[in-house]
Amino acid sequence: MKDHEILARIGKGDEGALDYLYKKHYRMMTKIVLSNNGTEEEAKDIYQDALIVFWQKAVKGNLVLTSKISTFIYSICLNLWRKELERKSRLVNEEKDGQASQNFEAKEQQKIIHECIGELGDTCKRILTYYYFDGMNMNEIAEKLNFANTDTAKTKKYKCKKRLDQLIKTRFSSNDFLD
Amino acid sequence: MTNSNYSSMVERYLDGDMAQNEISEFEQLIEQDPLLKSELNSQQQVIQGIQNYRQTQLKMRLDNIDVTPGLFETIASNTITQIATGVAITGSLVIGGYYLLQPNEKNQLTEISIEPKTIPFSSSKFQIEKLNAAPLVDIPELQHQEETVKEAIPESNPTTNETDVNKEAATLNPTIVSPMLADTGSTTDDNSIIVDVDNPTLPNQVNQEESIEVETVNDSKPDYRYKFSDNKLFLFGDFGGVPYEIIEINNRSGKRLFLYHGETYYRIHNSVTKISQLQSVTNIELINELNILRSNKSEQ
Repeated sequence: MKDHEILARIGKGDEGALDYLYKKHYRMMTKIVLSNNGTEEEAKDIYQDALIVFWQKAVKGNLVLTSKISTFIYSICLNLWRKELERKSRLVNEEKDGQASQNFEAKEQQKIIHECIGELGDTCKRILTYYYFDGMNMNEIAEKLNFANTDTAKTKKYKCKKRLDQLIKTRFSSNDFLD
Repeated sequence: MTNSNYSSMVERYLDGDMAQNEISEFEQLIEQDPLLKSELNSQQQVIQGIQNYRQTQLKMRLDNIDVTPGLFETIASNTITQIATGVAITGSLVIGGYYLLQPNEKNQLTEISIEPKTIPFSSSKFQIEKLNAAPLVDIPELQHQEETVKEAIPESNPTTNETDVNKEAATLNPTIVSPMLADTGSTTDDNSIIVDVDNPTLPNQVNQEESIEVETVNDSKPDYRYKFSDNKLFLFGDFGGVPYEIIEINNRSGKRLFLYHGETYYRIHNSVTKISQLQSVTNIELINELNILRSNKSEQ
C-alpha cells in the first residue's frame, strides 16, 4: 500500500490501515527504544503511542506530509521516548515533592470517567471518541455511523455528552469535581 | 448564571463554536468567576477522559495484531543498505524448493533406481533445445525437472550418443518454450530420478552457493529496475518501505532469482549488468510454485 493510499484510508477513519502500518513498521520502530535502554514492553508502548499520534493527525485529513509516513512515525517515536526518559528521571524528584499523590488523584478521576464512558451505549462511545479524539466533524461522523444527516449527529452527540456528564456527576458526590 | 448555562457556554468554547469576540469575553469571565473556571476544568477533564478512552481502545486493537515476522522477511528500509537473505536460509529454501518443484517424486524416492540408459531421447533433445534458446528467455519452472535429467546423463552414462544429439540440434527450431512445456507431462516419470539418491552431496553443493548482496537505490521513478555488478544486485525504484524478499532457487542447473514485492514476483536474471526493468512473473504455475515455497518457509 502506498503512503497516499494509507492516508486516504485513515482519512476515512479506516482502522484497518492503522493495523497495516503497525505490523509493517513494528520491528524498525521498536528498535529505536530497544537500542536505547528500553524494554520490549516500553518499545511496544512507545510505538503504539506514536502510531496513535499519527492516526489522530491523519484522520482529520489535513495532514500534509513532507516525508514518508515511516520517517514521520520514526521521529514521533524518538520524541516520545526522549520524553519518557525525562519523565522517568523526574519521577524520583516528584516522589520527594509529594507530586506523586496529586498524580494519583488525577489518575483516579480519569479511571472513574473511563468507567462512566464504559456505561454508555456503543453509538455514544463512538460519537464522543470520534469527535473528541479523532477530530471528525459532524458530517464525517454522520457518514461513518450512517446517520440520516449532520443534524442527527449533532443531536446525538449533545445527548451522549449530557448523559456522560450526568453519569460522572453521580459518581462524584464531592464538590471538588464537577461543581 | 445557572449551571446549565455554564455547561453550554463551556461546551461551545471547548468545541470551538464561539466567535472571536465571544471567546475574548468568555476568557475574561473565567478569570472573574471561579464557578465558571471550575466547570471549564471539569469539562476539560471529561474530554481528556474521552480521549484517553479512545487511545486505550486503539492500543488494545494494536495489541491484538500478530507482529511476528516471517522467517525470511527482509525489511526494506529507505536508507539502509541490506544484505539479502543469508546462505543458511537460501540453502534450506533451495532444498525445500528442490522437492516442491518435483511434487510427484516426493513419495517415490526410496523406490527409485537410476537407469540413465532408459532416459528417453526426448530429454536429451530438451538439452539441445535449451542451448539454442536466447539467454534471456524466461524458462518456465517446469523445465527444472528436465534440467536435472540432463545433468544426470553425462555423470552416469558418459557414453550417451552426443554425436547424434548434436546432429539433432542443427535441425531444431530454437522457438522452444511451448514444446518444453508440452514435454513435461510425458517425461515426469523419468524425471523422478531425483539425483539425491545417487548424489547425497547435493545439499552441500547448495550451501556452497554464494549469498547475494543487495543494495537498494531509492529514487522517485515509478517502475522497478535492477542490475548486477560484481555479483551484487542493485535495485532501483521507490519501494516505499514495503518489505521485499529475494527468493533464490538453486539446483544443479544453476541459480534462479526472484524478487517478491507488493504481492508480485519479478524475475531477476544475474546476467543483466545494465540497468533493466524488472519483469513481473506472469506464468501462473510458476507463481503458484513460488507461493507454495514462500508459505512453506513461513510455516517453518
